[in-house]
Amino acid sequence: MGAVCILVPVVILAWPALSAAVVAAAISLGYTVAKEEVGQGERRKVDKAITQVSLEIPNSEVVTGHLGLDRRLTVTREGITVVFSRDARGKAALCVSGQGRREEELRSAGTELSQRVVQKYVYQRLVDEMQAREFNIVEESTDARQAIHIKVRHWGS
Amino acid sequence: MPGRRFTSKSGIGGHDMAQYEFEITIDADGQVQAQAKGFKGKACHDTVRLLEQIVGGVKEKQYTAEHYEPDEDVRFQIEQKT
Repeated sequence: MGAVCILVPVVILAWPALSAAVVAAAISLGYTVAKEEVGQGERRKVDKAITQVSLEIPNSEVVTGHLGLDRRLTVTREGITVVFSRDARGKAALCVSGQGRREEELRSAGTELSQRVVQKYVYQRLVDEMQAREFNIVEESTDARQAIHIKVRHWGS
Repeated sequence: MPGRRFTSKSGIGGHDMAQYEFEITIDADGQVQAQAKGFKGKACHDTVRLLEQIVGGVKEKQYTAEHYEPDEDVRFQIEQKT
């Protein structure tokens, strides 16, 4: 063994990559992708019965040109709706809402989904970068805690 | 993301095939734990730098006994493509 380290992910990605990570994460958690749209969309009436919380993905930056602005991706599960977007500061933001839901419930669901998005993003980035450096994936598994284990190997000559 | 090239070269008489390995765990919250195996000496630093560039900030790092073994003409380059 040479080194052991723990790393905290920094998520810097363009909208298409964020969208792909959100879709992968959402499906893995049983969400359905409702729609992806551009622009503000139609204004919805604010229903007092609908609880809403806003969250952001920590250490994230959605890099984008004008074409990537105002994009939103909506996923739903059992009455909970999560809308992903790029906020004014360029961070990946999500708005979680649900009729008759408690704020803690929505916050928990949003946090779980946003963490899964980060996991999917990090997994894809690690795999892509390692394969680009001629490392092969020799083992891969997911444990009961939903942690992904991968072993990559390179033979020097 | 800008691409980077990571190349390795082992010159142990040109006969031995050195094995380099990463065991990586991506927790459900996205945090990454990685063990780099087979890297000796200065190459250990390069592996940590590589992971840092791919994933993000290093929260903790620890070098193992292998790190203190002499280099075996193992060289790693981390290059930023333009």
